[in-house]
Amino acid sequence: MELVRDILDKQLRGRDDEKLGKVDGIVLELRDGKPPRVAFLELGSATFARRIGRRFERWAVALNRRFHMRRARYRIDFGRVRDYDLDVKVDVDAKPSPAWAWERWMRDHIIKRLPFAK
Amino acid sequence: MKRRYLHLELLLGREIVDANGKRVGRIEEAIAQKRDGEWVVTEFLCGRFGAMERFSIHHLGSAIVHLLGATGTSPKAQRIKWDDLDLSDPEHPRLKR
Amino acid sequence: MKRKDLLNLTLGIITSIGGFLEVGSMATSAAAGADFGYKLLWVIVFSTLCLIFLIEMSGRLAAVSKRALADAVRERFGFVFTVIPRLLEVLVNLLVIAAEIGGVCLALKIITGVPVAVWAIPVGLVLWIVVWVGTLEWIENTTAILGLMTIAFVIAAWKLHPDPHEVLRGLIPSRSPHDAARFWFIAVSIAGSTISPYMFHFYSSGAIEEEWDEKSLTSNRMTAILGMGFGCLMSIGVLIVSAVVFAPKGIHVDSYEQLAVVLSPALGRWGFPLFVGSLAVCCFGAAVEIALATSYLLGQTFGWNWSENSEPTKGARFALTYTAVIFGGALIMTTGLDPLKLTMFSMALTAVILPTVIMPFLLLVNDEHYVGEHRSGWIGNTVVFIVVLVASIIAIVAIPLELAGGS
Repeated sequence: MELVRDILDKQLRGRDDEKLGKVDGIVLELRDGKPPRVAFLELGSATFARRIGRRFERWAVALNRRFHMRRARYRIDFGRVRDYDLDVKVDVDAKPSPAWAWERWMRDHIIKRLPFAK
Repeated sequence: MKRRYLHLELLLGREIVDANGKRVGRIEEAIAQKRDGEWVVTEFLCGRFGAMERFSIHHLGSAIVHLLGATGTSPKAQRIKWDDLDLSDPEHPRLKR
Repeated sequence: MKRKDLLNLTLGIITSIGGFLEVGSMATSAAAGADFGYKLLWVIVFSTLCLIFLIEMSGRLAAVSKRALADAVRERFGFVFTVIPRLLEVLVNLLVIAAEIGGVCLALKIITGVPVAVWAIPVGLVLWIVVWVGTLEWIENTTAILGLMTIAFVIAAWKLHPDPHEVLRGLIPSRSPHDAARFWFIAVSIAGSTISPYMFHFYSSGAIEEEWDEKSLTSNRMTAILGMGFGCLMSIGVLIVSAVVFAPKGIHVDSYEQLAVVLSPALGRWGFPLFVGSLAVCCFGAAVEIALATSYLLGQTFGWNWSENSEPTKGARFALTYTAVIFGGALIMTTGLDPLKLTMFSMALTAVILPTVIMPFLLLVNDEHYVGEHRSGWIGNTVVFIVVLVASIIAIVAIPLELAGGS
């Protein structure tokens, strides 16, 4: 597996085949005398913002806090990766997950209040 | 025991220097294998041009040259074993030898 | 070819024809004809050639790699790189959609006399309802079929009996006869209106929504060639009509109102309604496409649920993006900005940002990992590379000159 080519920035899909987001980051665990373990996938605005710069990461965190989102980044245990051929499929339900916090907020606070939303 | 974590996506494009301080290249890729039920990084790929994480004119130029008629292969990358790379300071990775 | 495939192909071609002409191509071709006769015809042809290759590439990338353009760019080049083209595109899209909404408002103003700024929000609302409620297929088919009325320009051009030698000479690249800054500004505006990034996002996303695969490659190629080719004829029609009607009298096209009578000499009392109808329908269709393209490109960059065919509750961020884009564009038009000036400027700006969008695209359609054995040929690569690079460089020089000269 080539982590940058096969995992990073790829579309993530949950158990329910819904789109979870993109893999914004990969967290490695460094261990003495052993090869680094691929520990987590990470997604969230803080994660991709940090890739541009620390200042953007701070903005992302502040924005999330302003809208009372619990987290600006979210980790999925790498052990939950089931497949990585076209998209990266993980053993997590998309809809209830924190990765969908903004989607749910916009759906409940804006979309559902408009006519013909369904 | 405190766990030490490192973000791979922030490591990309960082210059690797050898024990003498000479520039070797930039980190482009990490190869992982499944061992004893867990995925571990066995090798890093280090290329002369940074991965597209760092938008480098050199890489784009070279790639464009390959584009006009040539077969699209990227520049040869060096393989570095995991235990040859010192990542104690992730912003300044060094070769151990 | 099976009957169903033939039907799909025909629809695809009609969509391309219908979608080709919009306020950008109309305004830029008309300005070109009025100010420089046939001397800018070659720009339309070269731009269209480049566009044909790019549309084919969009379809091929989607069909083989099963990823739309923005999706593939983020995946292959990483987040940090992709932010640059996407951000630029969103900004330019806002200006262009404002211009398209302005076009619809102008058509309504010509008929009713009510100012553009008043029509902006109502038009925005209708636009939003169409995108909110409609499916991709319905939207494509309706605007495409209505858009066919732009054939009026080709018929008018034919009826005006332009000098064939002059027309053919216009197909050969030439230097500016006078006012070089204006000449090249219009040239890059034509390029920007023809080669619009939003079209590639829309086309490749549509291909994914319709689940194209390797069997779709032939019809993709035919759609690109025939659809864009015929669309190009419409633009040429506008240029020729403008050249015959305005150039000899030294009339510069400064406003759409002036342009409204351009079809009358050739088509009599049908000329005016056909022009107004064409303007309204084409601009409306383009606005829908731009709104959706922006949702597609952001949705694919961030991995949202993105599908026009699903209802808004299933893709809240997708739906809110096009809502913001539509009303953002409408708001811009309430400021009373001149729609024609905005159009010309936003088209030239499109040319400036083209390399950031097209270069990664070119790399993708030559990458085995994405298109397998269906890599691009050297002709396509070379044409696209040169046209895009040249257009961008000229635009960077020409825009400030035009602004300084005062248009």
